[in-house]
Amino acid sequence: MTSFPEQNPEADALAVQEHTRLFPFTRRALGAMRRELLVFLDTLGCAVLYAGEMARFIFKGQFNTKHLMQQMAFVGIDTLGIALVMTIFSGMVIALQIAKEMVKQGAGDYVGALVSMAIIREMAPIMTGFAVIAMAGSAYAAELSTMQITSQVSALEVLHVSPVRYLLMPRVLAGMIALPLMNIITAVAGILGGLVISYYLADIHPGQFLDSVWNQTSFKDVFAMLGKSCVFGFIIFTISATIGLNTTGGSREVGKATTRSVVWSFILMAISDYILTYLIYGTRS
Amino acid sequence: MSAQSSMQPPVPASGPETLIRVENVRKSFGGHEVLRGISFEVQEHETLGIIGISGCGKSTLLRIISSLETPDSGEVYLADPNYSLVFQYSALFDSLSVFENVAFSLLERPDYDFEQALERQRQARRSYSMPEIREIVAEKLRMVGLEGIEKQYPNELSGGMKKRVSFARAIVGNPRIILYDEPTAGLDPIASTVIEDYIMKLRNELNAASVVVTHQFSTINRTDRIILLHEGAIQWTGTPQELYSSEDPFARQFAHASLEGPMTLEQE
Repeated sequence: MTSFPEQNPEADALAVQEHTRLFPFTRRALGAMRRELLVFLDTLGCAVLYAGEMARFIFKGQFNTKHLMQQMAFVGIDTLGIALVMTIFSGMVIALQIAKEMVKQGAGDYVGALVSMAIIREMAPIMTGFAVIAMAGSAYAAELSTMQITSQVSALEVLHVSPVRYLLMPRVLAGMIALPLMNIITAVAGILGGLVISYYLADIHPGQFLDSVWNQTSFKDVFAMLGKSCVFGFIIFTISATIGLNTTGGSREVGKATTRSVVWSFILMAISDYILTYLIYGTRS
Repeated sequence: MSAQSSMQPPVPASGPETLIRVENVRKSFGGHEVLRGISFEVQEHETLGIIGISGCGKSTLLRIISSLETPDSGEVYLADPNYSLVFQYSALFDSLSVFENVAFSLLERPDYDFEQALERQRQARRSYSMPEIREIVAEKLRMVGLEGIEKQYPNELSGGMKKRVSFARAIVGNPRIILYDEPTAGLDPIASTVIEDYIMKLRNELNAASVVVTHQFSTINRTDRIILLHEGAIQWTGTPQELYSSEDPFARQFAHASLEGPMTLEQE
């Protein structure tokens, strides 16, 4: 004889209650995600249009060198210290993890090469990008969104000055120039961090370490690092400035814009990092 | 009907030149129609006041005239590209000094290619030397009673001072079309009178056409003509004197700041 589960009206009522409580929450969460995705796509579209407008101004030679230098100084001076700390520690951590083990395996000659490869190919551009997003990208998003909600951007337009040329272009160009320059410094610092740890932990002589770096580092790696950081600079500042220029509302939206600029810059940087790495190193040939 | 804001001069007519022509302008935001077919003209040497309760579309209309918004339909003609807008909350560039704010349109070249007139304006801007720009800025600041503050930054100024600096910035190029969004809001009575006097002075000296969005009766009284907006449409038009004596229920209610009448806050 088939036995049916015992009916429990109280448990059923609780389940229904739980369902009705969770369902609206899930619906709200999905709705919020959908809205955020639409805003993201909208911002990407705007960024593409702004990039086109910037290209037009650059082609016409309409950019203010003084503004460009000011923005480069802001990006470089404000961010370099943090980028250096992050990259030095990255180099030290890599050396910490591989130096002793590789010496044990008789591959001490390759520690420098591995550290430099990791630093130049990946850690220096990424860590510098993170520092720039946190310090300069978020500051730009906050500054431009405040300018937008206080009608300063409208005032520019009334004065017949393009916000894209006056506000966005110097920042994006500054990022595209400053990031590769910063990257050279941070990469050297990161490798030196690895050198110090390799010497103290695994007794790898600095000369041996630097020989390994020199022999294994290719121009391709260096150019790939510079190219990546240039692209990261473009992405970080175009996205941050686009978010800032399209902010509407009040002070709450300024906070949201700043958060969005950081999160979306991280995401887009990670995606572009994968694509660039694949294009440079990932092909089968 | 095409929806555009253009720089084409209106059709020449005898008498005073029409500097602003707004034709059947409509604008909606998210399905809510804010402006419903607004039409009017402003001639040289004329100050038009736009009044109405909050949310009736005054500022949107001003933003459409100044090309900051695009109308859904209808057209706006400005006879001269040399126009300026005084913003409700000053909108000074807070990273620039007072001098850089006021001299902005003389220091920065314009990007938007409207018409040949703008090219003339661009040429004119290039011809100023730095000492000349300093002299012009000092003169404009003197006019609004703020001489000697060129090196200060907006965050060092009071609300009234910011407003007057924004006024100096708007008039630095001697525009023939000036749009004011609540020019005297937040100012003390004396500063308001200075600004109102200067609106009149510009009208007389430059033959300027002015559009003033305002709630303040002292400013309304100085205009030549008023249009009263309600729910996105022109409900009444007349002179300031006619406003106070009109039997029109909208004009009467606004003039007497009465709670009794067709306009209610629920309709915002």
